[in-house]
Amino acid sequence: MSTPENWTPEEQRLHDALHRAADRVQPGPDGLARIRRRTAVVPMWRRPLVLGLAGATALAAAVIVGGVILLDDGDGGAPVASETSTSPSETPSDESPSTPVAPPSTPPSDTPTAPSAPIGLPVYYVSDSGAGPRLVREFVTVDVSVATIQTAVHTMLSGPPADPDYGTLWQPGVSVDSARITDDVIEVDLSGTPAIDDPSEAEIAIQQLVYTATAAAAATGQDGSLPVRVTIDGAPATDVFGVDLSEPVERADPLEVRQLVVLFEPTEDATVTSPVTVRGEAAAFEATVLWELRRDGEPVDSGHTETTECCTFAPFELELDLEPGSYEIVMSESDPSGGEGRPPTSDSRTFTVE
Amino acid sequence: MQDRTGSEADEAITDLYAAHYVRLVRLATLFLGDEAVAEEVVQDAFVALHGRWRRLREPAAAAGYLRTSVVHGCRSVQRRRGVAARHPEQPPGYAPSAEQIAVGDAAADAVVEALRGLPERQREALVLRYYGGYSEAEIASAMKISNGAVKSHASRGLAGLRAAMTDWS
Repeated sequence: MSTPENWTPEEQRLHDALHRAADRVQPGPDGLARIRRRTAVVPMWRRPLVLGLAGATALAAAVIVGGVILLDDGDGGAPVASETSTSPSETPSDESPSTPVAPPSTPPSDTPTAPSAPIGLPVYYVSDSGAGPRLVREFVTVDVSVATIQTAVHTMLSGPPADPDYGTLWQPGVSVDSARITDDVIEVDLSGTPAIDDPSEAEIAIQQLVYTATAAAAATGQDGSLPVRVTIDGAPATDVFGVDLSEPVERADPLEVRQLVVLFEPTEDATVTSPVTVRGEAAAFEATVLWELRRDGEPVDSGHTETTECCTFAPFELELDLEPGSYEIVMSESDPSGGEGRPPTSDSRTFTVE
Repeated sequence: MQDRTGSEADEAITDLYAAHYVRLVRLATLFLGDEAVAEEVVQDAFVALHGRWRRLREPAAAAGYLRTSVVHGCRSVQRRRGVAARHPEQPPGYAPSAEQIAVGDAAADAVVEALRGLPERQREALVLRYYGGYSEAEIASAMKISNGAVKSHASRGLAGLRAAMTDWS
C-alpha cells in the first residue's frame, strides 16, 4: 500500500481533509460505561436463563396465587409463568431484544439447553412521573433454579429495562456479591461504589433496591415484608449516595414512591390480536384512569376506566377492538386539580395488532 | 466475583476502548455522517467483541474484529436507511454546526460531502486507507473483499473525488 512518503499531493490532501473533518467528532464521555452496562457478566452458576419478559399473565397468576401475599401491591405469591408463551422449547435461541438481561454478548449456543421451570421475577426501575422519578416494575423470566433475590438485584443493577421509557437511578459499576434472607432481615452485599446523577433522588434509588429485593423474596416464597440491610464488600454501608444505610431499610409507602399508574399489558413492542386487553394498576382519585389511543402520535380514541378501588393501588382493565396496525396506549391519572397541581402521572406502551 | 474469562474480557475491553474507541467512532462518522449512530455502531462492536473474547483473546485479532464489525455495522445502517428513505429522520450528509467550522474546515467539508456521493465500497476503501491508515490486507479483511478489490475501489474512489479535490486546492 501507499505510505505517506509516496502519496500523491491529491492523496495527501484527502488524508488531511478526512482528519480535519474526523477530528471534530468528539465521542460522548460515557461510551465505556454504556458498553459495560451491556456486557455485565454474571458467573455461570447464577447466570439467569433469560427467556424474555413474562407478560401480564405472570402478574395475573401472581394475583390469583396470592395466598402468600405479603405485600399489598401484587408482588406477593409466586408469579409462575409456565403457562405463558415462554415455554422452554422455544426459548434457548431467543435473541429478541425484549429483555437483554443476560449479557447480549452471550451467543445463543451458550445458552443452557435444559431449562426447568421459568418463573417471573419482579425487578424495579424508575419512570419519570413528571414530578420526579417513581418506581415501576418489570418481570424478567428466569429459570427457577436461579430465581433468587441476588438475580433480581443483579438484573436491576445491570439493566437495561425492556421499556425504553424506564430507567435506573443506579449508575453502572455496582454489582451484587450475595443476597440472603435471615429471620428478620434481607441482607444484600454489594461491591463497587454506588453513584447517582442527582443526589436528591438518593431515597428513591435506595427504594428501587429495597423494592426489588423484597419483591424477589416474596416471589420466591420467602418473607417479602422484611427490611433490607445493605452492605458493601461485607461492611455496613454508611454512605450510599450520601445516605447512611447501616440500619436495615423498610419499604417506603407505595403511594409515596411507586408510579401511580402502571401498565402491565400489553408489554412494550408486543404483537397482539384484537380484541386487545389493556391491564394495569393505578392508585387514582375516584378510581378513575384516563386512556388515550394513538397512531403515529395522533390520538385516535380516548376514554376512561375505573380501578376496582379508589385511592390505593388497584387493578384496572379494558378491552379495545382494533384494526391491524401499530398503536400506542397512554393511561393517565385524571387531574382533579384541573392543572393546578403536579402533572398527572401516565404510563404508555407501543404495540402492534396483527 | 466473576468467572475468569469474563473479567479477562472486561480488562481487554477497557484497553481496547482506550486504544480504538475514538478513532473508530470518527471512522464510522465518516462512513455515516451521523455521530450518534456512529457511536452506537461502535459500541455494538465492542459488545459483540466481549462475547467473542473466549475465541479471540488476542489484542491484534480483537482490533481486526472491531474494524470488521464497524464496517459491517455501518453497512447495516445504510441498508436500513435505504429502506427508510421515504421517511428520512435527518437530513443526509455531514452537517457540522456553525462554530465547528474553522478556517480550512469548509474545504474539508467539501471533500467529505463529495465522499458521501461515492458508492459505499469506494467510500469505505478511501476512509479506511486515508483516515484509518490501515494496510491493504487490513482493509481487505475489514471489507471482506480481496486486496485487488481494495485497490480498485480506492482508485475509482479517488477519481470520483477529483472534482472536489481540485476545487479545494
